[in-house]
Amino acid sequence: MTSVPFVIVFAILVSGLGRPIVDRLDSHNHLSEGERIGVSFFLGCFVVYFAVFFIGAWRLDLLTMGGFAGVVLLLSLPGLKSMPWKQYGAAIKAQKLAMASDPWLAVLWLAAILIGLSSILQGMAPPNDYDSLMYHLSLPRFDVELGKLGTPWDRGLPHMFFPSFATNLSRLALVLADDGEAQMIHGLFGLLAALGSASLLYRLGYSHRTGLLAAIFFLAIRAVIWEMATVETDVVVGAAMILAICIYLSWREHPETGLAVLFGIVIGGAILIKLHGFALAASLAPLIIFDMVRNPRIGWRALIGPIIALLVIVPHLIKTYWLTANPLFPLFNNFFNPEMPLPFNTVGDLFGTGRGLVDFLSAPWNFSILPMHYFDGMVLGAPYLLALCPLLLLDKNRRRWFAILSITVAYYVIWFYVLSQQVRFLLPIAPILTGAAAVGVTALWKRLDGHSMLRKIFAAIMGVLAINQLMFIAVYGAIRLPVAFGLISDAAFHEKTPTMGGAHYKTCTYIAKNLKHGERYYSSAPGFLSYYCPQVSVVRNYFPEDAKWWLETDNPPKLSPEEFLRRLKKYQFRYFITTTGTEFRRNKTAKKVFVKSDNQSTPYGIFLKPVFTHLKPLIEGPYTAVFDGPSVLELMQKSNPPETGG
Amino acid sequence: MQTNGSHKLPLAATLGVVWCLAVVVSYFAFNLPYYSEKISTFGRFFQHMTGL
Repeated sequence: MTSVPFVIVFAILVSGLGRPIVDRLDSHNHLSEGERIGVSFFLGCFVVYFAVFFIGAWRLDLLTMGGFAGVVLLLSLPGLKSMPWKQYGAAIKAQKLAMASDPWLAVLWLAAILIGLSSILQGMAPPNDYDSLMYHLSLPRFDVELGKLGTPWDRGLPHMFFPSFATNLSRLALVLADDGEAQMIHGLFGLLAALGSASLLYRLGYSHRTGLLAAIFFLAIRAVIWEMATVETDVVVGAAMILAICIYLSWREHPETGLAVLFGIVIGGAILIKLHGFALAASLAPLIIFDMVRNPRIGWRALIGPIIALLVIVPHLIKTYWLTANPLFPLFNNFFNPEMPLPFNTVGDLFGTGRGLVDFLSAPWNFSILPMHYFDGMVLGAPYLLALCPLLLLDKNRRRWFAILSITVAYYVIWFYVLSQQVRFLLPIAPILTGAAAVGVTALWKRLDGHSMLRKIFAAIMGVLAINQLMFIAVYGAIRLPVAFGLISDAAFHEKTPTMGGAHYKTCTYIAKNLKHGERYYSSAPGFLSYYCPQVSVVRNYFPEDAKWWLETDNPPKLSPEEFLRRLKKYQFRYFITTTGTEFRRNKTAKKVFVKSDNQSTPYGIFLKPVFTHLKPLIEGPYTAVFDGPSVLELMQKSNPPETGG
Repeated sequence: MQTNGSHKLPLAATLGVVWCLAVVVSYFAFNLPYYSEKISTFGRFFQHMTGL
């Protein structure tokens, strides 16, 4: 339970760290206090990113990160002192008073707090999501084990060159605390995005009630609940996006250089969280160009933000160029490295109904109503965004939304035609959509004043949607909170909780527990090396001599059986871990389908399979098994040259 | 058509309610297999936990 105080202290200190920058750049207080709190937190996290980026290249351990935390503690004090604490107290008092006379406001506050708190606390559960196990957490664990930032080439993951804003927060958390804290810090960005959604509505002149409703709508999205308790980055980039939009809207009214710089930093941050940040930046371009042309007060000043955004991502671009000869790797690799492979070139074909005009127009219906048929599963849950967003047309102040909707439509176009059409990649604009939905529901409710029958029907529809979504909220809570509070063991949690391909917890923790210092193990697994496995002491499929092949060619290196055996003798692996099967749930019912592995899809599985069939595993999980290294080598030597039967 | 005998039924608002209704009905109609699978999984889990 030390996670909770750790995360609270983290949030306070980074907010204090970022506050003086906000005070300086928004010296005329054009941003609302809620926006200033959010941007302060974000900028503080930015400092953490750069600190891990530069210090971690030299050393990433308790000494350097603890020292950095000490410096943060000192530097945050002036910012914390400058925060208007009395104003916060008065705001809380005012809300309490308002709740006394408005029970619905109290219900909304209660709902927002309960859903937000539940999602944050679920972060204390052991990591169990595919992407985190594959790279969001396993790459930081590699660096922490190594004691500095490294490049685990044998993972074969282009993901290791993704920008590392959020991953560096995980690195800090793994050094100073554990993975639960890393997940909870990411969860804070969910709260930040919800705050952004509400702030957007206050900025547009809507009530606290409507703002609260928008925040609840955001927190209740199924993928948001799921991601807030993980270190996945769609929600994090969503928080950056909505903050950037709020700052930009403020800057349109008050085109001061400080706000433009702040906007650029946050957009740069969005890019450093996820490469989709480029799509978000591009989706702001039509509005920026429109403002440049229409408003002479803005003119060339509109370029300040994009230039600053470019400047803040320069260190990342240089590092990526140094490692891959492509500053944007894995993007545009066919341009920068025409002879080299183009990563992710087939992902775009996996989702959606097609790329025609009808598909373009029907996609919101399809991914809301038929999520299990064409898209990446039940991402949104109940289709309240589809139902309620169009009701924005009923709002008498809908003209205020033109600028914001231009961003939303531009991003949707990019998502549809350029990105891989995974619905979770729409989360960056979800805070806008939840704002539109909250305004829509309020507008329709007002329009139905005096029509009690229609109001009852509408209330019933809302009730059905709410119960449906509550079910998702409750299910995630029921799955994760017991283990988060220690009521069941991590092992029992992983045994009962499904995740795509499995977490490999039992087998990986066996290796982690028994592998002695200086020993190595071999992973013959087609999928990924789970976060729970030791990361540095592994040789995964390809030996270090050949590990970089995937960056340069589509043709993997091939060893002869004799050479493979020679390498095994050289490395003297203590253990071998192999995949025994995997599961798929991407079907209409999300029912588990188990597929047995035949060891043919790993480069040297064909040599190892006959040996594995003659040996009893030391330990076996649902999808992986661990074998004794010396026994594997002995059998391999006996059958020299190794059998090659498939 | 009138409700409460005082207000004319607003077309836009009525369309809004009809739209919401269409979305909800379509959603449950198309996702029946998903929900029945989830409910039966929950049923098995409940049985396992309660020993019934």
